[in-house]
Amino acid sequence: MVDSGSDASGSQKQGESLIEDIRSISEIKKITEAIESQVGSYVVGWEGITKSLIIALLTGGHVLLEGVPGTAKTYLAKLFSDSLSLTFKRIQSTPDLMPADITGSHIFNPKSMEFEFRPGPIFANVVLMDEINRAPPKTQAALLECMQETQVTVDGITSRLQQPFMVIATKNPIEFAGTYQMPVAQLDRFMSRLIMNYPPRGAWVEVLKRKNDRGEVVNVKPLVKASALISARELIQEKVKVSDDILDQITELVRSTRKLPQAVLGASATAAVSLLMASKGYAATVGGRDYVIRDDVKAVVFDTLNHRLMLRQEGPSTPSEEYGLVRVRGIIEQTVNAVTS
Amino acid sequence: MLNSSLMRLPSRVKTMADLLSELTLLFKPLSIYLLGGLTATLIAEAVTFKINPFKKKQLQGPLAKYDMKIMRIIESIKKVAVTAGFKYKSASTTREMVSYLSAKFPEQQKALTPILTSIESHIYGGSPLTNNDFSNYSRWLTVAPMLQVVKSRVKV
Repeated sequence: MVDSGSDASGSQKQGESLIEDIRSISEIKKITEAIESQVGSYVVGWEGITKSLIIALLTGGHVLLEGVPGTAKTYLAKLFSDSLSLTFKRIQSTPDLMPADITGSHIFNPKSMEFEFRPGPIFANVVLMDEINRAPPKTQAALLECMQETQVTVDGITSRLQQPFMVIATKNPIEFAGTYQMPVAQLDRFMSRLIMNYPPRGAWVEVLKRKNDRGEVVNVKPLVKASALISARELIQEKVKVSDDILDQITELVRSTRKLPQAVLGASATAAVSLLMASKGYAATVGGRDYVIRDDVKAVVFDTLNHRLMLRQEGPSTPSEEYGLVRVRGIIEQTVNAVTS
Repeated sequence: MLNSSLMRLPSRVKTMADLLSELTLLFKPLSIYLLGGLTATLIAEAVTFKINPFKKKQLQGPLAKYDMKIMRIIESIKKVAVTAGFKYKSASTTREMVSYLSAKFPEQQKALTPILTSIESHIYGGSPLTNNDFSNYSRWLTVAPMLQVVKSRVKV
């Protein structure tokens, strides 16, 4: 179900100091901080998540937000999108959602007596796929081409999607009724899976304070134009250097996950590319640097690999999601330590 | 000298047709000088390359290609950080050690930040090192042993 959408042209009128072009890496860092600060004034405790969303947007990645209900996943995704002067569409996943509900379809126009293509919600810069695991695998598969190749094929006709293009999906790991397991190929399309569990006590108090003071009023201004984001993406691609040592480290890190005795399935070559791109994005947006260091790889490795490792069952017969995550975190840490030694 | 040597050779030898023998006999009077030269060369070789006490320690592993001074400063940062209580692991990075030291010795942050930037930009960004970088390293290397002493006093 397509819920709502916002148009870039409308947003541009509101934002008077919209950034149209980005020419240096240091500017990328400044923009990141500005977006993070704006989103952070409404959502408490998720600064790292906002940063990861920006990294994915600027490196051509997609993000899966996973967490228990009521942790502001959808709200955060909407605020993030509103901070950018981009078109935004939201798809509420349901078990009866069909691929054509996402991609669009040809509809007969009785006036012109012709079939006309009516674009689906995928034709936007930022697409929020809410509760993605409620959509059947067939419908989830409709996203594969869009996420991998930034294009969509309907009735044999291929159309390019808008740039920049990004899918933000949300998933609730607790509920199983009326949900489907996400296919491995689908999971692999996401650059990172960001875990949003309950924030610490201090953040809760702050959330209540802000709600009490401000109520439901949200006044988010778009800060950056699509053209600036495209320039930033090109800058990161072209200017951020990656030494051979770092390339070796990434390769070895990903390859070693396939040799783990605990793993049924290790990380793929796509994972290595995602890790490389996320590291470049981290270097530019957080470090303001035009080169990648080992710390950048370490900073993004968990988010990039955690959904790509399929582990053998151990310990409790019905392991909780949290237990599974703790285990994955431990294994990834061990792998990092082994590779960098 | 050459002519006089030839003059002193027996007539039987003088008529020898073998070139090598002729040359051997020719240089025989100079053998002492040749031996001396050879010995001096061998001693010089031995002193320079084999038993040189000032010879720089060769680096091993993937960092071998980097400047020796960079390696000295990284080693020094590591020593001070470990003495200050940093739990060093093989995956620990220079940035982590510098962050730890900056928190432990806030007055050192100003000196450590440009050092870290120059190390990282040289190793990962391929930037050449400048004289300013080297003077920053030298300054830190004079301070580093004192920081280790400070920590050991605290321990006692």
